[in-house]
Amino acid sequence: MSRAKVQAHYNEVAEVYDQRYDLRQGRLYHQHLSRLVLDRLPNRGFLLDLGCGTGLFIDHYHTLGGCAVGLDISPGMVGMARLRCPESEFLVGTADVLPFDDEIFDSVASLLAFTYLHDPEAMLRESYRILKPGGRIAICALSWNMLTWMVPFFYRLGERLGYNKIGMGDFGEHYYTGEEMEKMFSEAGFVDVSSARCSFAHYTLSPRLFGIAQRCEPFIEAHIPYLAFNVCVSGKKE
Amino acid sequence: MKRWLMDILCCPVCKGDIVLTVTEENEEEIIEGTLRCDACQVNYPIHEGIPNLLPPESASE
Repeated sequence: MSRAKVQAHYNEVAEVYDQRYDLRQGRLYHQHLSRLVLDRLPNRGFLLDLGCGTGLFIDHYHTLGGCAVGLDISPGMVGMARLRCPESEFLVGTADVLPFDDEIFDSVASLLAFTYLHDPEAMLRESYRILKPGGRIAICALSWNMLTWMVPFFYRLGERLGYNKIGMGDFGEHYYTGEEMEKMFSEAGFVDVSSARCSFAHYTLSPRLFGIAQRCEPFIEAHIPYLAFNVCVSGKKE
Repeated sequence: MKRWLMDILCCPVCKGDIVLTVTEENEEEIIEGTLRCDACQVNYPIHEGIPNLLPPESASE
């Protein structure tokens, strides 16, 4: 599946994307992931967000006092991010071929983008290269479990039926377990690698179910992580 | 794109230096222009303030 297809899809939905992740349940869902990623990174310093979308995470990071650059494959999304975060810098690019000098950033963050990558190993190698020694990386992505293994099937079905919702389409996404991602991090050179499954309340649930799922979320994450559908993996460059 | 970004940018492919040419700029940032890698002989556009550094093979994929 081509990068061009992912790019075209996100260009198309850029103007309505924030209706999904910046309103009500979507905002709570995204803020939960943002907090998990931020817990694993220094909360100041120079950050690179890979797959920055409309700048939701960078906006959050900036309010904490950090300075950031966002990269996304979709010019439409980057255009929205520029409007949201005029103090930050954004560019169009692909996360596995980075246009930055070595050892520039204090941290790398990536939310809900890793599954789209053709070459996730290259993305991790490139992240390692552009991080300063001691720099940290945290990636949060949809992960493989009993609930998510059917997702590509529904996306393919949805695409055939012409159901063009944000993020829904057959992009040849790859879902990894936390262990698989930890191995990739270690092979890229990162140390202090760990993963945690997260998210039980999905923003597409009805408000009542979302409320119940949200209340269960901390328990699920702590005691039945297999039911959580995202994974957050972090590491450090020595 | 603000000028300071040039301090950290390189060619995405060869990681060598890129040369900035500005065709439109306001007091805050560069609006239109080009980033050129002479070694790869590739021009990367800056359009509406956004530099596009997708490597050529991905851009045409």
